[in-house]
Amino acid sequence: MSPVRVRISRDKVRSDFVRLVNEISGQNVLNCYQCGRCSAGCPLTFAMDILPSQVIRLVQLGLEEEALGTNTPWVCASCMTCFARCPRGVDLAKVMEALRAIKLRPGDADRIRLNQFPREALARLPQQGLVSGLRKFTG
Amino acid sequence: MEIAYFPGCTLRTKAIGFDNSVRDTAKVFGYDLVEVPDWTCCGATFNLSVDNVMALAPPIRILANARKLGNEVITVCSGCYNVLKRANYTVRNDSEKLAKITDFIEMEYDGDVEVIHYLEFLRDRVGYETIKTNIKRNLEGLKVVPYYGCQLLRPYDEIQLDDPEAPTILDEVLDAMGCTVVDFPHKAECCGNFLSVCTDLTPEGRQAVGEEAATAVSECSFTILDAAARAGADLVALSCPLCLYNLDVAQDQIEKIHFGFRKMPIVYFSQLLAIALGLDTDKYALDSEHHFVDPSAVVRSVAKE
Ligand code: SF4
Ligand code: SF4
Ligand code: SF4
Ligand code: SF4
Repeated sequence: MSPVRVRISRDKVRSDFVRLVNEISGQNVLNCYQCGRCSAGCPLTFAMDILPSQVIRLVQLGLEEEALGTNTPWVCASCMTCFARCPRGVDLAKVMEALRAIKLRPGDADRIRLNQFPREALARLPQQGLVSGLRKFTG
Repeated sequence: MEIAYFPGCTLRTKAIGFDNSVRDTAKVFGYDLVEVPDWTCCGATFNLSVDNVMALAPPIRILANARKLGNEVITVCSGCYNVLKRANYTVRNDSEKLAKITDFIEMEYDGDVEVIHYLEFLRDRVGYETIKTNIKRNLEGLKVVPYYGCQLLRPYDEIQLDDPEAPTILDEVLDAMGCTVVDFPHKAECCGNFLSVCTDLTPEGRQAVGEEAATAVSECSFTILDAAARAGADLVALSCPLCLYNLDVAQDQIEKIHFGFRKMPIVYFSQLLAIALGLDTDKYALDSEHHFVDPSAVVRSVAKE
């Protein structure tokens, strides 16, 4: 990824965005001290634009557009490995869910649609996968 | 002895061999699994937004119905187990949420049902010694890797089944049924979970995660299966229909990308238990209709009589 110039300000750090992420996730993102253990153990970093620990850093700084603009929350599989290893007890899987929720909740932002699924694939996919996928990718 | 059982939707359909083998093997040990009345889907994935109370309604309703049969319920799909256990934990520690939900579902519930995974039941109630004394077929020839995935184990505070990073319960159960258990380092590493719904099925879904993530599930699965093969395993045993699908369906794709990849059947641990206990192997969907990589040859190799 090419370097990105970001502007940090007190207003952004204290913005509603940070409050909203904390509220939906039940976490205090400021508890993260950027050790990187979550990213070291995350099994999906190979497919992510930026690392999980970088996402939470963007959130700490109130950089809403930047945090919501990466594919990282959508690639996160909620496997909770990061939470199992975080020395600060931050549940990053919940932070990722909050970022997805912020995108999906306003409505009309579904990332997948059931009527696009090919029939043959649906015939084999377990309900558990279908229901989970729809819950994660639609509002 | 009768005990409440929540199969969940996948077990009644796509994972019917999982369901049948759990019911039949429990019977061998003297337990009748009785379905929870009026059960519905649990929601499949535990909602991680703490302000979403609605998502707790289905699992709590299932537990309230289970309460009619007693104060414990057995479940076996890792997804169901994770959802029921976490929902129960949530309402046990949040009386306000509990009141909201019971109000909404118009049922009484106070958090007093214990959610028990069938592996836990085999370990703590049946006991490994009883399993061993009931073995009818020798599975020593099967080199099996135990695969736990995520939902069975994490988060530890709420699940408390086993060590979230270095679990042993499935190893022990497979060992008790006489398999040759092969240790490998990817026991508790994620297979990609629900991402397969996006990546494998539609262009729109692939766009949602980004093209570079389109092969995420087959890459995760490859890492796991490659580690299993290098450890010398012939097959993978697990307890989650979605793990099974991800590890199983990905193999065609993996074979095209990774030269020298050896396909490996994926089965539910209870299917192996049914074989070990001498039950009729034709009854547990160990065939190409329910598995992409056909496990029947492996089954035949140990179930001769
Ligand atoms: S492991 Fe925890 S403290 Fe460390 S970077 Fe990740 S979220 Fe922050
Ligand atoms: S929960 Fe998400 S961010 Fe955390 S380790 Fe798993 S995939 Fe990575
Ligand atoms: S986890 Fe899956 S199988 Fe289990 S009840 Fe929920 S949707 Fe159905
Ligand atoms: S499907 Fe994936 S996320 Fe679910 S339990 Fe299996 S390994 Fe974990």
